[in-house]
Amino acid sequence: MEETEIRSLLFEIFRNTFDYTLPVTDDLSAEKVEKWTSFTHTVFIVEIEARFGITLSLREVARFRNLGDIVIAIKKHKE
Amino acid sequence: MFFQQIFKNFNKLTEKAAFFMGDRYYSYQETRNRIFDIAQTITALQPGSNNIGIVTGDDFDTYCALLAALYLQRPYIPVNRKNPVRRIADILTEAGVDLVFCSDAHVATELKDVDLPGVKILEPGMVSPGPIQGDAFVIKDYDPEQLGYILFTSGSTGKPKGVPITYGNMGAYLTKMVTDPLFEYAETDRFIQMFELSFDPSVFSIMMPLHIGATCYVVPDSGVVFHHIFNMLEDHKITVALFIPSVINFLKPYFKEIDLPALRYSMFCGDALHDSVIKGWQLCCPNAAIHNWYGPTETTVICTTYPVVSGHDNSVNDIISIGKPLANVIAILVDDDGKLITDLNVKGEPCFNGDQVIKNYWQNDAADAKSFMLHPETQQKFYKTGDICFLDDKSNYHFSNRKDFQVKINGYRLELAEIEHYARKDVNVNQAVVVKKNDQEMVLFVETKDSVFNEDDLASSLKSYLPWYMIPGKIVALKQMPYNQNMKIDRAALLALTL
Repeated sequence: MEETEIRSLLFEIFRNTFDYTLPVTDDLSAEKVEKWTSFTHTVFIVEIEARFGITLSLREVARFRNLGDIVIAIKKHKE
Repeated sequence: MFFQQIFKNFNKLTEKAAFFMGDRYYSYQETRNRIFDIAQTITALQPGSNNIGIVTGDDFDTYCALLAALYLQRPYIPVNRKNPVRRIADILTEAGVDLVFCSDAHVATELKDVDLPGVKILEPGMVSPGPIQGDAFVIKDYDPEQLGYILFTSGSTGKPKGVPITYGNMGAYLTKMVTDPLFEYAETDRFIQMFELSFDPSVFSIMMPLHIGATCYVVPDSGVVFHHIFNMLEDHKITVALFIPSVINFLKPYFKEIDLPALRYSMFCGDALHDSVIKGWQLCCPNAAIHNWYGPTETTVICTTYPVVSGHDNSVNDIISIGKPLANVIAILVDDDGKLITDLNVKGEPCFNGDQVIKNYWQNDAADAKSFMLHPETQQKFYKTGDICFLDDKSNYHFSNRKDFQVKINGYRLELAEIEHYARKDVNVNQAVVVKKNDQEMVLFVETKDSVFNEDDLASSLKSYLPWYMIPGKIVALKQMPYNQNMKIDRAALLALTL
């Protein structure tokens, strides 16, 4: 799976999960998105795992600083 | 007294780290200097002894402002900065503050646009180093009758209800915690502080490390807080942690990955603690003593405690016992008519009296009349919790429910926790909460990560355990339960979903 493909699908999941209508970029983090909290994050991760067919570890998800980090993690799983 | 030791530590420990927050350490000396500067600025702006509002934050200045209020012996009123500004203003007005410390520039700007007559807004940039910077704190006596802080909770009428906690209440609770032989805290301990400052478990997580000269690690309060908590537990080898159960419910799917050998004490408060979850948690922190704490804000953080002993199940409907009252608290159980319940295993409302327990609300006669009663025999004043509990044959209390949530449907009195317990037996159900919609109907909400979760299968499963009148009329699957600002399951939000 190409990185651009991963980014495009991830951003789509992100927009749908958080009802986000502003431009989405790699450096977007939970601190900058009001609806991105501990609780909605679970929904986001469950959706990522289902759509990409991967399982992320706690150490991976707990270290995500922004969407760019998630793209890199998914790419690693898809290699 | 307890607080004097805190300020003695600030004088004595100097280079030792008092706080870790925002990726850096703050020494006791650096913290002392900032507390001193803020205290002097407060006194210059608003001399006297009036209440001080603190718009909460996870930054060094906000923590120093709170400690400055304690040093000045002026009651502080923490107000969650995530509240709408109108509510913040209402609470500050209700509390009668004449100064509010606010480190959030956006909230401070909003507050300036609200009509708050006579209230000065103090922002960090206005704090200037005072003439006696670097001097030691003056160690003063604390009057046990004087107010330490007021916490505002939502009242049933929509008007916030103030819980005034005196230095006597705080001192009784904190002294009990530090002298309890079950807890041997040391200067080398690393405490984690994960609570919003208007939620009173934060009093334990801040004051206890400062009292013993240890370090308080403050969790950032924005973004994915539960990840910040896990990273901090692991990266800083936290040794003492007071949690709200929702944190480990969140971590539950990852228990196999978690190894926290440094954790010595793992306490829980604020919500029901489930035995099935704790069994997994014990494997994550094999060296930790686990305790379940219970207490309404009115009893100063907590008033009962139960040491969870591995292999000794003391749970009912999977909810772990809340244990016995602390030594300086007297507990009774009463029925709906205010009569004492002395029989074991009979449910009633727990009521508390003692050094930790408030005697009245903040300027609120209606709430006082509703929430306090006189002991039928001794005539002592007791605080009525509004909870439902019972006492087992080992003198341990068990929490059943909130009195408001008691349900009688079609003439049957139901135990919602029992329904929730059987729902959680489904391997795909992470959390389960039953909400009473009306006198005939209840709705079961389940949190599941299973995308093809089948509500009918769960209903069939429940029917194999429970009588017909305990089967909820509707089951709703959610990917995530709603939680309130204090990280507790938000039952009001669930009720709204049923309407």
